[in-house]
Amino acid sequence: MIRLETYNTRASLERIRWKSLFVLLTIIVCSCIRPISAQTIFRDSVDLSEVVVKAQRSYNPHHTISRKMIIALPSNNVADALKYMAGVQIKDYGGLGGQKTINVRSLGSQHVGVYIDGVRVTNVQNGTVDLGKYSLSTLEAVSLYNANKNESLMTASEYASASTVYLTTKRPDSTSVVLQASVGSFGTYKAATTVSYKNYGFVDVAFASSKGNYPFEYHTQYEDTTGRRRNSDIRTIRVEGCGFYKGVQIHLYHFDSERGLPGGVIRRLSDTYTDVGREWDKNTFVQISWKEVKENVGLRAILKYANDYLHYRSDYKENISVHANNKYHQQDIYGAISGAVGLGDWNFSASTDYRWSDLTTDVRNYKYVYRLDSKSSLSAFYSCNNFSASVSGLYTRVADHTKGEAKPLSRFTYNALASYVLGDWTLRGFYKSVFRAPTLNDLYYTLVGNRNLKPEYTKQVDLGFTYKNKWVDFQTDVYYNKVEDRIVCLPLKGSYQWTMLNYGYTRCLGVNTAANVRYGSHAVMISGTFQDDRNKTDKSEESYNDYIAYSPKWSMTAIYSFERRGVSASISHMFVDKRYWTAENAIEEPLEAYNCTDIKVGYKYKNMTAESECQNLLDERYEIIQRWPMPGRRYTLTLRYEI
Amino acid sequence: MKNLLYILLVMFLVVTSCDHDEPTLKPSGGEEVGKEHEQEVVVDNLIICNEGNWQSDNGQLSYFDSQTLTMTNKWFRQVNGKKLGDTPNDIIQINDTLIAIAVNWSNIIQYIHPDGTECGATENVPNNRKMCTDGEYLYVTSYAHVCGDKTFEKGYVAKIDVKTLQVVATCEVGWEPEGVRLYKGNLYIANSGGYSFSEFGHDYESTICVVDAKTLLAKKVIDTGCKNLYGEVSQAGKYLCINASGDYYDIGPHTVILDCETEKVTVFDFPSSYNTTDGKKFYTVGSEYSYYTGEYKYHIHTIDPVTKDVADTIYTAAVTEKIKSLTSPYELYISPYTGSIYFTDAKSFATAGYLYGYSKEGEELFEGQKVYVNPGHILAVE
Repeated sequence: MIRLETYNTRASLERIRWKSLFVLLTIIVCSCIRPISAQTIFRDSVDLSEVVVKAQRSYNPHHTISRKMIIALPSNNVADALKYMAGVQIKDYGGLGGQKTINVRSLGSQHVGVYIDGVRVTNVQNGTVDLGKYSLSTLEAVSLYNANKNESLMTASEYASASTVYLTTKRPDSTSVVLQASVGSFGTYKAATTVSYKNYGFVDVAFASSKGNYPFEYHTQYEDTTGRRRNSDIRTIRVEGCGFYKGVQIHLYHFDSERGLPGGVIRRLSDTYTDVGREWDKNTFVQISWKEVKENVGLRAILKYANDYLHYRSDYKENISVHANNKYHQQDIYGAISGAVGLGDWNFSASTDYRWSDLTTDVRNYKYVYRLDSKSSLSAFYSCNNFSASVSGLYTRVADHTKGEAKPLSRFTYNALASYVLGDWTLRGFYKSVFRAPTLNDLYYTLVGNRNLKPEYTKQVDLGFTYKNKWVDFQTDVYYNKVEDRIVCLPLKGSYQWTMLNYGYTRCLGVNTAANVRYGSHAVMISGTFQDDRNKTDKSEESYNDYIAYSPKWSMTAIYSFERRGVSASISHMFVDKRYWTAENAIEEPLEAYNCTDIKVGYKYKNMTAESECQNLLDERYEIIQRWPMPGRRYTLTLRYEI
Repeated sequence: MKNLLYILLVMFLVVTSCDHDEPTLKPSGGEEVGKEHEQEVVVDNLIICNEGNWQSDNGQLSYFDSQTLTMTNKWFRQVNGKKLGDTPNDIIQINDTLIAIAVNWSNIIQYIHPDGTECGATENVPNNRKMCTDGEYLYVTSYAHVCGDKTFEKGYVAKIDVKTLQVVATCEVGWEPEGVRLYKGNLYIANSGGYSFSEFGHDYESTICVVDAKTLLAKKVIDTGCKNLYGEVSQAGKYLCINASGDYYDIGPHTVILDCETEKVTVFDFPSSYNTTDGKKFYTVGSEYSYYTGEYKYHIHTIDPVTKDVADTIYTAAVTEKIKSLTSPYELYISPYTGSIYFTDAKSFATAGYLYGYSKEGEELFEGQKVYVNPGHILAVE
């Protein structure tokens, strides 16, 4: 019996591989059909959108999805675009309402900085950013930089994460009003409108709601479970406005949502008991940035205020577990200034920023705390002929103010980068060490927090090359990184309560490859990742040298998109290898590898555009997090009217 | 055709498994050692209940065979072809044919025969915690506020008829009731109030509720003066050993010994997070944690409930040293059949734990056995 099962699994895996190969082949063949002379040259949109001081840039490995590609993809939020990039793992709890966080090169989601127009989105509470809250509709580009972007006039905070995601807001190139409505599977409705005024700004309002009651199935040797997700609904409203005037940019953002928290699918005898927890979020920020570059001198300043509110409730009569009703309120005031000066082959950049954040909550025994976080950076760039290099140092000081003792933390970290251009080829390498300070939750959260935590360090080494010509942009990087003193939550010995501890040391060896091909109305983007991510904590433990949970060895993505005379189409595919979900790999079967294919077609006639998309075309049942099933095949129909 | 294939396959498996078994049998002691164990009967057949990780649906039973000294992990799955559920947090034997497992987060009380085959379940006691029995009825504590169509403000204890597996009576007790024990027709229920770290309506509890087992009517409440009566409760005759965890900040942990006859309480100022008994004395391993220092302190004790004498060893120096060497002690259990002591190490709580066994005389019964994640409960079966 057991052997038969194994055989079946193998056979189905084989089928999956063929499926993915077939899809890849289709994409490659499609992209090669018409070898006519090139009309447009593919260029990174980032290169175009930024004005920078002369001789101050050297390249870190990065990857950009431009607006064109964003429009072509079936996507709801920023996570849907980022998942196609090399080295990226999206943690997704499923459905529109499930939290989506990004992990790059296995360094952990708290080491990925997300920046909206150069300003970091912070979550002082738990350090992660839910990408589900950020829409693609207002963006010019989504870029991922390993280590950090590397140019002058960067703020000190931009150096402070192991990987950085840049969301670049689109400056309108026309005056228009766009109305959009869409309807999709599992009771999903959306409506949005964007009013743009050429060169000066836009207002974007979007509403979305989804029942999220998608069906799921588990069929293994040990279970036959079918059901529908319950308490998985979400409703969101987002209002966003952006204004541009000369070097000044003002951005206002407000997000309001209510969602159910469905819980993992576990063995139950019936539907009698269900997860009833609900969450309300209100996120608001306003940011002003200013930048001016004159000949060899540049100046940049940023001011931001963010206000985040989270309300969690589970004190409903039918709840059989903890009856909680807690509100969390975070505020964040941030100011940054940076300057750069160019001297011949050299360029120097200095920046300092200051952040005040606080956290108020009615959680029992919680004492009010505010954090002062100051960062200063100094960078030197050198560029001569084909060679360029840069070194940056970052000094961070974090001081918490609360009842009782709280030791300030100060550290110096640095990164260094060099690149050499040889015709169409660029060789490059970097080293970066950076840490994350324990979050306020890690330190002070009632009955979890541990004030004795040390910062969690990451160290990265990368070596790679880029090849770029008129049609193709190809890059490959080999990297080695390690995370030291991981901050993890472990159960208290002798209790059902938990505590935060510095525990663990991991290292990851990997290769990322990405290629962009653009030819006439066709575009192809392919990415592949191999990584070997291992636990190196304690030799005496049986999990020593095991693969890190949820870290696949192989993953691949491919997108083909087409756009011509009002007709647009895209097919995108993703393959993720099996993943262990237990720290000690041998004790459980890993989650199966999965393939997910999405397609989208659109047609534009005069002012009207109709789009239809199908996600998870082959209705593959898969999980990203164990016992959190992802939705199967689903459809969306969208109508857009533009004035 | 299918049947034939199946038979062939089974034969093949039998043949191949024999091949594998033979060499492993030999080094495990030879015949002499095996016979010695048989005569003295110091090793038990054990069911180990592994809690797994919360919301991972990976609760598992392991079975240890005293004859072959072999451990079968994922036993429930193997025997029944299905999963046990999420976070099983107690296992007891009801009678010769029935064992009950309280599968907390699955809201199931799962019944099995001693051979592991399942034989029914009760769903009406969600968020179930600990159990005790008189052979005819099963008494279960629950943190929930609902049992069938009955609702409660605080937690409750439910009485289940093991013939029908139906709840026949309930009684509201304190907030988040934990251990339950039966003495002379009365149930003694230790209340923890453990959800008070997050709930506003109540604080940690320090009381024991006395409930008439027959009518399931509340009789009285005993205040121990110690907060958070969390964890296992052992019973040696009229004495109960109860751990009080405190609040991990200013209120330290304690151990409470209750004399059920006089209802007198004796308090010791060390924890007994894991405790067991040989019918005379209590053997305790306590872990003390403080959020202020972020540090653990371990306490190992033997308590004589009659004389109130306390020793800082368990059985022998060898046993005590072995317990001290564990990374994360997670269960301590003395077999009522042999008096042998078994204990587990949960290691990092994410990897498979280990089971160790020693005789009363301090002789190691077998090499450390790998079990599954968070081996929190042990049951010796005949």
